Amino acid sequence: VIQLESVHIEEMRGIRLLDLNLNRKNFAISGPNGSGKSGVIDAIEFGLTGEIKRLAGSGTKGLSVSEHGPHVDKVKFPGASFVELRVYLPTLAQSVSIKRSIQNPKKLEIIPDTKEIRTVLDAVANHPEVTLSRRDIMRFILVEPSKRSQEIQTLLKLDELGDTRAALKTAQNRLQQSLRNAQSQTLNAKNSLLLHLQISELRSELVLESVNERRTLLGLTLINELVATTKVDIDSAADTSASKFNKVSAQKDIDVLQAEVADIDKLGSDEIKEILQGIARLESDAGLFIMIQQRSLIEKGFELIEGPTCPLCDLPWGDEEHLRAHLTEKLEKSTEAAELTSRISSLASKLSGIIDNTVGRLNMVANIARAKEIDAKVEARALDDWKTDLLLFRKGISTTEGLIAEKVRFEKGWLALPKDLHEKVNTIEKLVGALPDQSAITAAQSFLAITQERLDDFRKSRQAEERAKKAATAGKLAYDTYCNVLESELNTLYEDVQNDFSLYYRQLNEDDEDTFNAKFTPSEGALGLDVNFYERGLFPPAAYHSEGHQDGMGVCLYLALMKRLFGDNFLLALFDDVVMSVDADHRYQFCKLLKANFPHTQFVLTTHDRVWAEQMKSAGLVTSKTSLAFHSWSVDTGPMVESNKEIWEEIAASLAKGKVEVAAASLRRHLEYFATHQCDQLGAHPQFRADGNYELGDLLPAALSRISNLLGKAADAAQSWSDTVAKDKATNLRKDIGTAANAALVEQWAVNKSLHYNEWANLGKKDFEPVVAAFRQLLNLFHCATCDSPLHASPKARPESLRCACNAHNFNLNKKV
Amino acid sequence: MSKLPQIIADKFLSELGQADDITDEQIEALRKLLEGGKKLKPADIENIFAPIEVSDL
Repeated sequence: VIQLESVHIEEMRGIRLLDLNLNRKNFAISGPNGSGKSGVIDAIEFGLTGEIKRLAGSGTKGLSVSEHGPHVDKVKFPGASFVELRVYLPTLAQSVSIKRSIQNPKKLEIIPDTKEIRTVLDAVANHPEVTLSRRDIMRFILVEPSKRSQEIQTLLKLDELGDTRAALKTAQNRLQQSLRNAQSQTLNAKNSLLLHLQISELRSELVLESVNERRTLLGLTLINELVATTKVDIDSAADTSASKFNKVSAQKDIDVLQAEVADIDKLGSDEIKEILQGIARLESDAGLFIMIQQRSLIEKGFELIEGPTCPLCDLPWGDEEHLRAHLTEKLEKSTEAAELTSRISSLASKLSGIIDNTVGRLNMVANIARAKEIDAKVEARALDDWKTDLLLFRKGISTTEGLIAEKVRFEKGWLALPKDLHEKVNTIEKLVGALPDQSAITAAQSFLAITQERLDDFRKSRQAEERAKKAATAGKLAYDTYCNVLESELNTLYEDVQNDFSLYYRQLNEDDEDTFNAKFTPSEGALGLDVNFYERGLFPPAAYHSEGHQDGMGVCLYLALMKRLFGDNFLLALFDDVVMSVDADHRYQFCKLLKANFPHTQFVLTTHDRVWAEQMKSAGLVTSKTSLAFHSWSVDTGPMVESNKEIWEEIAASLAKGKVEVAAASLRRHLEYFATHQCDQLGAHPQFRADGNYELGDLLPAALSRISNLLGKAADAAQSWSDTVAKDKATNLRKDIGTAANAALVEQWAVNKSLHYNEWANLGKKDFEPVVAAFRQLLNLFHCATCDSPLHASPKARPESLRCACNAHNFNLNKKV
Repeated sequence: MSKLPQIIADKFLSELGQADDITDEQIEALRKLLEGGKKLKPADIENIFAPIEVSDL
């Protein structure tokens, strides 16, 4: 979306003041650990997004941009900590200056500030993934499949897909639960009707037979057809209140309740047993119990992270993404708790069905007790009290916490039958039994009235069930359809990513894994990854590949994902020490990979390995103008910058102040760096040291010897090809380097200690100036005057050429056969 | 930046709209929810498929 032209950083992280000119080109920053490299990446990231990833995510508790973003001496002056970036917006073909301060990270000052520019920059702020650190890359490789899926979907901005799927699933589950409740209600209404009619199944001919028997007795017209609107008590009685008590029906209702109460201990016994086992499991694992307690809270909290402010305190979210990631991680840890919760909820749902049935029976008998013919108010209240208790209990066990809280009740008789209920029901039964038998006419009238009432209940319940069934079907269809579409689209996406990932990894390891391929295995909410190991089959990445190779996989997968996310708009990536993940043997291929596949992407890379930084130059990924070295850092100064160009000015400045020892230290440090790098570039062979602690006295003579040898070979080869121009060029360069080396007295280090670099600090200014000039002359000869890249042997082991990055120098080392 | 969510939403609504058990009104209500730019809530979806009816109360 954008590219960086320049960076100005003040008082941020470990940096006091730093200016970088990137000119929309790749840029490398090298320096030892703790020299401030990552601070540059942090500052650029902050300028673009207002966030610093290193101060967020797991393991960063207590860290924040506001408190830890400023330089440590400027924490109380956040306004002094800011970043100014000059960025280029290709879509608008325009350069823009932006400034962001720690004092107000959300506020971006833009010059010029237009709606179009702000839209582009807002989009950039929404893409912190352009920054990649070493710890980031393993998020895709060495993680559980479910975590990988989540990480990748987050990176690809697909979080909302998971949110939508989760919402559809929850809605589906709730609609299914509503259907089960409705079915339970219908069953209760049906049983109540069957009981009253004294028939075994609800068939219209059986209902009508029973109804018409009473209607005949009452001299009413018979009903021939039972349809949804049929009124079975039509024309039966004027006094409806008197007609709703039927002695025979009441006695049967009471009998059913008594029978149920007699066997109450058996109701739900299997479910209770399993629920108690679940509770015991929770009690044996305090962590699991806490997780369950927190899970519903976290789920609710997760839903509330919407909008710019916290719904509780109405303050803006400090770091919404951080909070979201934190809660997601906690939810993932509670998978076992979730499974247990789900099972217990299902069992509780069955118990709720039993309660509904019992409550239905209680309602019937309580209505009988309240009938004016009985008027047993105390007994009716006792039944109502038990019903209220059961309904409260039913509500309580609808949550896991509530269910756990009822452990004692589950153990001691979960329906909590009141002690005197038998007595109360017996009282009602006696009162009913003591009533004179109703006249045939009255009994028939009340029978029809109650039939109509229970038929109405049944019809309403069935209609409600039908609606619940349609809703549940629709909910399931919606969820299934969404999952199918999601899976299909993600499979296509993963296949593209998988192919690019395999291609990049093959390019990175073309010497030994040129047949590499990877296989993604997507499933619901998870993404498995297996990789080919030397054609022996597919295995998890960590099974056989080395850590270095796994790091390489992480970078390749990241690049494949970024290609998918941005397409042609992948214009900027900030790699913080990521390139260290690529092992030494594959660094050239890594540079080639970036150049070949992402020619329009500006990579800003940091590395603590200066040789690697130089290899980036040799490979043409960066140039001397687009690279920078930090040689040290202090809390007062921030990073100390060193560059090929500036080092001579730095030394001259020290000498001008008469500080020979400072100039000598700078020269020595630069020569160490130069000699190390040049030995690597030329494949030189300093005397081997097992501890790897090579000194300047080992390295520089070895580099001189090697280049002299290679240039000699180049002259011989040119001679064999009758190429006098090349021969003269090689011979002259060899001669120039020899002369410069003599002037710098390098060869005499071994024989004359007073000329050794260790003694430089003791020289006077006038004595040291010629030394500096001699080395400057010598070092320049190792570099191409056109592209400023160092000469390097290719390949290093048995070189066939000696050349620079732009090929202005390209000495053939092979003689004509 | 990523158009995948929109592609998935369109395909989802298109396929779901062909089901006999789903009405055009429900599809439109779902479309509004998905295009609203807000995170979907289960209750909103429930209300589309099982609207609370006065007669049920």
